[in-house]
Amino acid sequence: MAADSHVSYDVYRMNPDTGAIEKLTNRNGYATELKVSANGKTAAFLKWHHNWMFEVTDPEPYLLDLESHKLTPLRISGLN
Amino acid sequence: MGTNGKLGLWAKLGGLILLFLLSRASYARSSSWQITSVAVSPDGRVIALVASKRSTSFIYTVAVDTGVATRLTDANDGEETSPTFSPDGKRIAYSYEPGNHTRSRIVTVNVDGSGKHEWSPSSMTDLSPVLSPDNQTIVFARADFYGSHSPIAQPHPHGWSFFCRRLGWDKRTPADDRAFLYGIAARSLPRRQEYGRRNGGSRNGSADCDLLDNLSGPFLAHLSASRSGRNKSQASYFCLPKLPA
Repeated sequence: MAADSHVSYDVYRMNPDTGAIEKLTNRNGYATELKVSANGKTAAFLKWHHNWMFEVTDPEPYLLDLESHKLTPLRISGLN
Repeated sequence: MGTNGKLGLWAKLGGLILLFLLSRASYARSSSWQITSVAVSPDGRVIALVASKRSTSFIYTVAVDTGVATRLTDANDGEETSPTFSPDGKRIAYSYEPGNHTRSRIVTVNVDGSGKHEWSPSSMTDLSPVLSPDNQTIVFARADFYGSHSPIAQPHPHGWSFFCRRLGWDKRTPADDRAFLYGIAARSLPRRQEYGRRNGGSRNGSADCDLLDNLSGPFLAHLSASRSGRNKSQASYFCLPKLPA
């Protein structure tokens, strides 16, 4: 995960043999906690929102399909 | 006071009321669960997440296809943090700081919540566990000094060390309850990168372990530690130790 000059943290994939870099997301905003499954197919991370003072708040988990690059919010029920 | 003056006064008063209401709304939101950390199972089908509210945080497992969250443990106070799946996907390791202000300790538990094993807490703070590819060794960070410090008076300004211990899930591999100091004080670790940061990190700093490669037996781990304090810059340390066979 790396940030551009607009502090948008996007997910990149690098081939360690060739050094080729592929950008997998676009304009994530502030994002943290990138984790990748051991089978290499799924990544999860937190995307943050901004409050009225432009502070980051309310992180939301997202899933990234590393093959299709499809980004999906993980809608969660049962937190209590 | 003229009409313009009265209008200005009312505008300022209205602004103050609006600020008050917005701050109340913001406070109310902070009293709901916030997800602060995630981990992905090896097959990508289950997410372990940390949900925090006020001074507590608990780990939930979430089936990706349904989104239904299930509490991993029955802890009713304290903070469960840093969940990580074992490479075989059967267990989750995490750190737990009870609500009675005792130190954080390392816990392992089966993904269904059974078989919890909690190591006796030391007088230090244990956190950020990671399991080896053969599921037999656990590496974790230990803060041997936790609090504000003087870089001059303290021999270990950052105070982070890294330990590993054999787990012994089965009878063939006896558990070794000693924790081997593998790294040395973070100050002396091979330093790959250091950077200053203005408002980043927590006041007491942090340490993280991540598994890097997928070899069996001895493996490489990526360890980092950081420490921040009032008017002090924060440093991160990276090393690649090879664990004893």
